[in-house]
Amino acid sequence: MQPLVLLLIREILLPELVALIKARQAAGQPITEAELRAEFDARIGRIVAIGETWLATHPA
Amino acid sequence: MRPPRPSVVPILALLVALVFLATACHPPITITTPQGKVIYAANEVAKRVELLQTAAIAGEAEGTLPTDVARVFVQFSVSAAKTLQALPAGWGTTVAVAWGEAKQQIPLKYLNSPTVATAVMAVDTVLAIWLPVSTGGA
Repeated sequence: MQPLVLLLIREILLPELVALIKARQAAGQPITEAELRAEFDARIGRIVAIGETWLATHPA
Repeated sequence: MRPPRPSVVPILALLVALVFLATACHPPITITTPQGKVIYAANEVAKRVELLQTAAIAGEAEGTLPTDVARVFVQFSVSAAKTLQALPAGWGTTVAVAWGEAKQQIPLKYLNSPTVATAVMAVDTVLAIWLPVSTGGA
């Protein structure tokens, strides 16, 4: 592999990946299945609540 | 004379794509049961549906999307969310058909508008990745 590509991977890609993983950990994103289920349920509830409220205030 | 150097851009693009696919197509290693994997897939779809709904509502509020167009996106989002919750292991066909019908109702200029284009692409991509799983094709 070309030195430039290796340099770009080492200097840009890898730090970005590490930062991404740290950000996910810091954001408390789900690790266990129970956490994943809770996040899913919360997201579905949010989509339906916000969407139905918006639709009620913007009737066809 | 030096030989031409191959561009690094395609290589980097391939690496980024591989990283995306590796992270998007597989649940975290802590998610091991079939039920957990099903919820992971449904949650990945729900994330993009929420992104779409948020973009559509914001676009309508800013005046970049007509209310009728935003309504189609929001109706799809609510419908898809309810389907994902009711059928986390079998949402595939229902959500994909609803998404196809929603897109047919929206003029191309709005489908491709900067307001929602990223979210539309995100929904297209996540369905392409997870639909076979949901419909039992993979």
